[in-house]
Amino acid sequence: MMRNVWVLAEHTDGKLKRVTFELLTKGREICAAVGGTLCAVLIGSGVEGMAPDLQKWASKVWVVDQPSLENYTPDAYAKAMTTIFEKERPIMLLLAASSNGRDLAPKLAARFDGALASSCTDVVMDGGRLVGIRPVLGETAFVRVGFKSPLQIMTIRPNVIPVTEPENPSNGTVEKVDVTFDEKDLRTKVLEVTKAAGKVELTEASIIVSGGRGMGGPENFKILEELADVLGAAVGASRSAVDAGWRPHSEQVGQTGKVVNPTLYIACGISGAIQHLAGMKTSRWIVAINKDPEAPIFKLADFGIVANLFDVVPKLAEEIKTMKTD
Amino acid sequence: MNILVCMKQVPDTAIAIRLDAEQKSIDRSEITYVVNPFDEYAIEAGLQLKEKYGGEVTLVTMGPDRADEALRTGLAMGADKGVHISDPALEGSDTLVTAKVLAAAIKGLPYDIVLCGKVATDDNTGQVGPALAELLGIPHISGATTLEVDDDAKKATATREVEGGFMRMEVPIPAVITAEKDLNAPRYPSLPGIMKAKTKPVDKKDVASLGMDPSSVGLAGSKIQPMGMSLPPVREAGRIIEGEAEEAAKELARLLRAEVKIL
Amino acid sequence: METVMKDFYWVLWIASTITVAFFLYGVYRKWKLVKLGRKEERPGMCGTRIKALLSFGLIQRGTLREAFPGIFHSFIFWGFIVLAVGTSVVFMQEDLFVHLLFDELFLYGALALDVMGMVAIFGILMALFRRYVTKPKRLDNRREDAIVLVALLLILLTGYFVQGLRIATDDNMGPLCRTTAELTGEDILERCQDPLYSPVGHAFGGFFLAVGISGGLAYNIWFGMWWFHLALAFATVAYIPYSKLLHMIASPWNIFWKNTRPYGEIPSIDVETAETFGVSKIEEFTQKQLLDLYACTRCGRCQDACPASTTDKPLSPKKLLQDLRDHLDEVGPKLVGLKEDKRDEVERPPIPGEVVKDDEIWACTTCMACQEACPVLEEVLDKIVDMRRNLVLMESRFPQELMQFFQNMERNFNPWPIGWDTRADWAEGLDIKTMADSRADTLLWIGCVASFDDRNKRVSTAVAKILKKAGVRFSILGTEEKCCGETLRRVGNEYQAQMLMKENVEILKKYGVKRIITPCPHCFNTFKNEYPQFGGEYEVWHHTEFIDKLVRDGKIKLKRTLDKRSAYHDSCYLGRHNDIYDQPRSILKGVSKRGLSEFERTKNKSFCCGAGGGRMWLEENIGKRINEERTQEALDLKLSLVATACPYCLTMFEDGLKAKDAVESVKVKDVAELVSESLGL
Repeated sequence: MMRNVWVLAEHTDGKLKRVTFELLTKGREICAAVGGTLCAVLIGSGVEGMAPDLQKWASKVWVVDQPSLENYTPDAYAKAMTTIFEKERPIMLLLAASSNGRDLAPKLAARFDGALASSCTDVVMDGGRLVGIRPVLGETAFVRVGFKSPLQIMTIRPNVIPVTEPENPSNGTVEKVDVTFDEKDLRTKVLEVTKAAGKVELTEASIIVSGGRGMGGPENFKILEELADVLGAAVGASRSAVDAGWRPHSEQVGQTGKVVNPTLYIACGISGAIQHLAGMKTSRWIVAINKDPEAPIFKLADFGIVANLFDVVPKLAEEIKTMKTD
Repeated sequence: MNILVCMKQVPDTAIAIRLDAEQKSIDRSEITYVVNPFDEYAIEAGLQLKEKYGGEVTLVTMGPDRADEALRTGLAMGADKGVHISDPALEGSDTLVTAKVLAAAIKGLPYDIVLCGKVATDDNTGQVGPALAELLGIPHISGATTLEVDDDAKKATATREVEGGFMRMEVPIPAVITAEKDLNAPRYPSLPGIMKAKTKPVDKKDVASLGMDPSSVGLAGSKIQPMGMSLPPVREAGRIIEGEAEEAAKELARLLRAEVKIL
Repeated sequence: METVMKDFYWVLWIASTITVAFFLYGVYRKWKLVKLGRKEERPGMCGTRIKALLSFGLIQRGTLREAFPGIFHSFIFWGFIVLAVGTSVVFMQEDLFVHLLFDELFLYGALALDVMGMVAIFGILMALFRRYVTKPKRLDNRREDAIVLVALLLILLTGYFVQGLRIATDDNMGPLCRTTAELTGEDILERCQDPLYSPVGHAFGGFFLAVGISGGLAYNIWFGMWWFHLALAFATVAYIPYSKLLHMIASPWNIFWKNTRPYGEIPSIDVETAETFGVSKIEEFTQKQLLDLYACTRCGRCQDACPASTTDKPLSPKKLLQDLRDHLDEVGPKLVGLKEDKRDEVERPPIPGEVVKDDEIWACTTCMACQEACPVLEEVLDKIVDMRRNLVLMESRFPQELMQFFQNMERNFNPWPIGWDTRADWAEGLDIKTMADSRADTLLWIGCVASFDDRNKRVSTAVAKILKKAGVRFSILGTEEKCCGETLRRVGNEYQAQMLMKENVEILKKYGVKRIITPCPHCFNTFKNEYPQFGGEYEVWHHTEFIDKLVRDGKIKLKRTLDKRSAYHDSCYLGRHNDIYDQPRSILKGVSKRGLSEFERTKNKSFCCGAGGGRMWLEENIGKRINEERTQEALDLKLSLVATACPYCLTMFEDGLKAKDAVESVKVKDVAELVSESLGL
């Protein structure tokens, strides 16, 4: 039996997403450990052009390129996978723990009776077995899970695996698969796809830049907005900043405002009253910038800078901008 | 309209998690159990559908005896009855087994729509909804931030958030819809509701009564095997980045890339 | 002349019968409306009740708390009391032939009537001046206000006219004089002609004579005036139950039935077997609560004292009572006579939401300033809590912030989404024993805010250190402590509140706790006044009380270390709720080098910090911020330190000072922190 590891490519606007390469990096690692080969699956409409990028990594690229696949629907994508699986099956299928990956993976697991580990932050070899590591209980703990199935499926979180380009790019083959969709596969209709209009919703944001009384006035939030733009973050505010009328109540983080749970929370000029902490303390990472070294927020922050935020924030935005363009 | 809501009892995550002696699971002795927050949105969505179209809301849960409390909470909100699948053999079931068990229970019930939370806050898999739909042979939309159901046209329309935007989808019903946070504002149970919930019917089911083989469920039937649990390294809170503002900003940017890994 | 009138007495009898009938019918109608309410036990304490009646009724203690309105009301009140007594005596002597005044007594009686009539007129003029010239904001003018004042004024004036005209007709003998003379002898007649005993009457008489009204003309006018006077008086009496004058009956009755339970206690309700909770229909109030509605005269003192009203929130205690009263007047008659199960068929708006808007109900800080200001001992707080109970327990309708609050309380027994397992973290490293480690009679109960809030943790630490220094053996409950239920109760979630209260009673029973010391006035009030409802009887001390006792007993010696211009901010739940004003002040005087200033609104008139009644956990989106108002008061006084004794007050002042950019110039500290500094701990 072929010990293949497959990666389902994620793409947007005709380009492979970064997470695809993260998955390929991990897939290559697993192949090396279990002695398998790495394959990629590319599904969509007008996606064939992306195949060459995958060929560098994978020894085989399965391509399903049909108009019915223009937008992701679980039914049609599952049908495409099913059609490929009829030809060949991997021992492991890696998907991104994105909204679509997390939607499709359980459907495939149920269809093929596979073992699925969701939202893994890592995959390691443990005594010759593959073990997925995944956060549970609101990331307050991590579990290690093993697989007991000929089909192992895993969704991996974006941004946790550093991409390393293949040293010797393979020149994999491309196999195009034709899928016949029946009515049942097309029962889910996509009515509309809208781009999020710039502003990131506070409760949905994975990064939040938040300002408090230390901002000194409404006009100064401009520097937070600039930092937020660079980071793709949402802007929040403490109760006192909202009370002072500097920001709308919809941006208030805290006990009586929004309770948020981002990956990164940057608190600027926020002292950290319990009212505020109640709304953001479960953030994965907390950064505090405040000129008062006694501010309680520092007790909670992973990183603190005791300085004038008006010196720090613009510089930080600038630094990040340079990093991003690098 | 027959509305099914699948729900789960989960530990409240406010208190610090401790591990049990074998480091395999959490120490459950001091845990407060609550209804999975995402399921509350599903229950609310179900109740709103009932208000619009009439019919019944039935809650389905799988879990030990204590899960009855969670059912009662949902019943107090206004659901009509419950199905509680409880069996020692189910201990250790992975999410796919859970979906199979729920599917077995649901196949015996009339339904026009099945609602679930997008994800349970304890095991964080988000698998039950889509897997359940597959097993029932019906479509699904996961992570709905809006939901409209047209019982006459037999279709459901929902918006789900995808990276960088939103996708509005339509499926014929019956279908499984999983609820994202803020789909609605779950109601607070009234006191008469709480009192009435105590006597609302809950149908107890075990593995045998679902016609399932005990070896196909529980740890034995699961394809995902827990190997152990660990706590994240204790965060070194209060780490102050020294230096002048400019230097500190530079160092922070570096840390955001190296440790927080967001860049 | 008066004897002439005897021919017409049959008219008077008919008129007075009609008057009395109107009056009684009106009172009966109101009585029936009040009786729609639920029965309420207000047992015993007759002595206290009569004392209240004398002091708040006869002596007008309530109204006299404010000078101008107090004085004019007392003038009118006492004036009419004397006039009513005098008129009754005339009636008794003239018509019933019961002789009451002998010898000279009637002369003084006559003098009293004469003078008090003038006093009452003066009072009415003051009232008119205030109501229609200075027009304080708290008064709303209705037509009945004008009618009542003008009618009373006219009754008094026409009374003097009658007397003056009688004198002008050269008949100086008033009815009191005559009936007394008839029974005592003619010689008294001489002296009752003496202007000394009816100076005002004679002045009017002199006036009429001076303008040439005398003899037959005077008689004719007198005749008409006499009838007019009587008609007006009868009409006014008949008008009593149909107007604000009803307070003449309802207010004393209300004062008599005053609450003799602890001021800070909210009555319990049965949450297990009842079918409805709180109040959404008027008949769900108690009879006493409905009586309150008729006892209110719309004086508006409550509104001036209310932190919600004065910061432009929609709540006004006065308006609330009046709205409920209007509703009772409108809906009540349809309910009277209906069997209880038929009442639901009467269509009417629900009280919370329609009669009293949600924003009004949620604006209350339960500070009790309204009740403290009320001259007729109205109870407002219980009504608001009853309406909140209905909204929360029946309708599940409340400000969305409370959802999170309820959830946190249910899961972690504190208001925040913070694990209950960290409740005792503040005590780490302080070598404080928990009850589980070392049982003690005395429990230091910390309360939620001082357990979890960083700023307030310094207060709990200070209290613990002081107790240790004084050698008090105490323990804490540690993570076994749960919220006392105070706020839950006051936001209407009686079900959750009682669950916590009962659980706490159990745990305290387990450890045999006899004495509780707490740094939180809210916990203090609840333990002291409400836990007995659930079998929890303890000796409860607020830390300021206990520290004061430690100082008096010589267990600790305070040093004067505080060198700042400072004042004490009274916590509502210590002061108005529990009458603790002196102990914190006494401590502060002991630590201060510069004595103690006082807020302008202080002691029982203290202005709430804005956090009570659940407001701490709600957004304050309407009007000005209560805490900033109070902070401004501190800034106006140029204080550099505000001393508090409540974790809520401390938090609200901290926030207020931040909002006013005054954190540098003004500090806020709990009394215990200042004591701790004074002791060098």
